[in-house]
Amino acid sequence: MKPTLHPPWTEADRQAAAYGFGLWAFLASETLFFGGLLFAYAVLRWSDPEGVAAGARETELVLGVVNTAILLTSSLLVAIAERLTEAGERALARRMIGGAILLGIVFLAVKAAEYALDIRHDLWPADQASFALAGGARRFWGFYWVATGVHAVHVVAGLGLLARLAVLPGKTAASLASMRATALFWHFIDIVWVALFGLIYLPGRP
Amino acid sequence: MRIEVWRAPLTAWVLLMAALATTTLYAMVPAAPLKATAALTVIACKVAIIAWIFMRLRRAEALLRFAAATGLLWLVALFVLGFSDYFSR
Repeated sequence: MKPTLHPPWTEADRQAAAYGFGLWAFLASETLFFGGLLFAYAVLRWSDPEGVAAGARETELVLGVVNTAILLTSSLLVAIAERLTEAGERALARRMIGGAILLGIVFLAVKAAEYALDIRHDLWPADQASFALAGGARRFWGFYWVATGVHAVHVVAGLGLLARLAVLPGKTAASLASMRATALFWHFIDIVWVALFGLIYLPGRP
Repeated sequence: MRIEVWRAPLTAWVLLMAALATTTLYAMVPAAPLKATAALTVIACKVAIIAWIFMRLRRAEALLRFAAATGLLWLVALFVLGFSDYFSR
């Protein structure tokens, strides 16, 4: 399939290289953005492992597992869609992107249900009197809300990019470079969640 | 349709789901040793699978691998320098 050229590029190879390099440079900066959060978590876990375990024990493990499976499956569909686009199977690629969008929406719905449960269990870091946990467990939940909230914002942004590919006429077929860039961003969201799952939901189990 | 379109992503997905099941079940084993190490190892494996197969670093040009490696490089620098105080005492 002949890719659409966007200014200022006049050659498809150079455009593809620039898109890829630009996206990976952006993802490197995103790595450091989340790296700061992960570093704060590491210091907390190093200095108060019992507090982190006590906080993590209150997380909804089943919902975390379900959401991880959902996001991994959505990444599978995006990876297949990218390869289908390259192979010229545009209609099927668009269906795969539609499936990935649906799974992303389900991910957010499950996360919202989980947040509702967390709030019901008094795990929202409001004023001292109403927050159930103290010490390291309390700080763990501060990390939980910030990290999962920022990740959810990334999911929403990723859904917007996927929708742009799926909804705009001919976008999926027209721009392989856009498809690749969007796929990279969606897979990065997957990577962040995979790390958060292991750090948030698994500590403190029996 | 070419089998290559499906094979690598599906293989990666099966491995990722197996890793998810393994790390979750191991975390639930009472008093199992090295749980934190196991969880971190599985995270690293899952990230590697996603980057290598889904994000196609396996077949990427050197320039793209370099750009991807910079994120990891500075992340490692952040943790090594940040924890140098703990390690050196």
